[in-house]
Amino acid sequence: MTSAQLDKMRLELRRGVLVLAVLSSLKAPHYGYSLRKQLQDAGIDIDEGTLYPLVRRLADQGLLDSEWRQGEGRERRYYQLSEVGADLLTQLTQEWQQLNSALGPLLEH
Amino acid sequence: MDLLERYLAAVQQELPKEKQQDVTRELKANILDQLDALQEQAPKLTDEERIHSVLKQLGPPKQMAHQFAPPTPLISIGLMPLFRYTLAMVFGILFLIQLIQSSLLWLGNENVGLLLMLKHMAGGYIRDATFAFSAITLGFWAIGKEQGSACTTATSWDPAKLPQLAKPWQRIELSDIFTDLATYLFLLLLIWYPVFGQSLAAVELTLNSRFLLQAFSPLLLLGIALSAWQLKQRYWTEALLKCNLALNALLVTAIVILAWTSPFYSGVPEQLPWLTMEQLERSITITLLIIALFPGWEVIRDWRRLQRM
Repeated sequence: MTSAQLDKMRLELRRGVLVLAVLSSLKAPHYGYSLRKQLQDAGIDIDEGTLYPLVRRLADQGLLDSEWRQGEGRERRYYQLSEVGADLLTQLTQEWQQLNSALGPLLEH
Repeated sequence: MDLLERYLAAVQQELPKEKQQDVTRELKANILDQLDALQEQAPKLTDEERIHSVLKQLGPPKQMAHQFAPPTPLISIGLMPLFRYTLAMVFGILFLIQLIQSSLLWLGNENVGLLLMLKHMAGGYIRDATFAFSAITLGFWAIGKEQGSACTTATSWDPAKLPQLAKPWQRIELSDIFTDLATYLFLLLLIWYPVFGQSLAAVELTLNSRFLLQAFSPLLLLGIALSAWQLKQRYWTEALLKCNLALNALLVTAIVILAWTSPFYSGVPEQLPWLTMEQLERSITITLLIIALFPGWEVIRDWRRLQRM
């Protein structure tokens, strides 16, 4: 397998998981950089060029609420899970746990 | 900061109007946060170096803008198969129309030679095809916009209605169908134009050979009907194969009969003064026999396919 193929498959594998990670992190309000920091501290490294547009897409889909706030002499846009987003997160978490428990034994073989 | 403003302006330029202000405002806020963080991590870097480093990490403005507003294809993926099929059908039909127009021009005008006819046909076809391509693409673009991103998964399809395709050769290519249709139409025009047309410039056949050609016209009509059937059902079935085999066998017979019809021409054409009548007749016989090999080959092919079905 070439490195390009591996990169492509890693990207596909991570795509769905990143949505779950972002939704989960936004139970509390965050702005772009603080969200990235939180994910990074949790061991999920995601570059800014992917994260910021992803957050906006989720907001456009109504899964996140957002508002501009002033702080530290600068304006920042804060995002937080909306009601719809919270419902979706619950369902996605269940789905993830089912998949994870099914995959575990498969990957051990 | 000049570098940052230039980056934001470049991103803005690539975004749709309604998103420009909002996205760049947010992107700027995020970049400023990153710059602050970088200042803590690497205090020795100058402002310009930090901006350069952060922007380099974010990626080219076009790529960044496309992440925020992914470009939508002109034709949506869901409509693509129908779009390609429509194009193929329309191109095929335009080819037939152009063939008829150019043949009529060739047959009805003494000053128009075969090369000029082909040039007229190619030019007309390219013009019509370009127009059709633009119109169809615009039409599908409008349909795609109307439908939006709505998923249209068909739930009412019946697996029992799937075509009985067991072998790869059963699929009939659209290009093959249109080539056959074009041949039949061209031959029909060639045979019947002298009857209905004003003059006959290109062909000087004897009454006997002309009568034979006209008598074989039903075969060509049958060929057109068979091609229409193939357009409707794009795969070979036993019935379709049998019909095609019978038609090609009849065509071989007709061409062979024609090959032995003498004299074929009423005289040596003016364009070929170096030929004797005998040489001309022999050339026609050989040419017709070579032409008969094509439907003859299809007879053998269809016979073998029928054995394997």
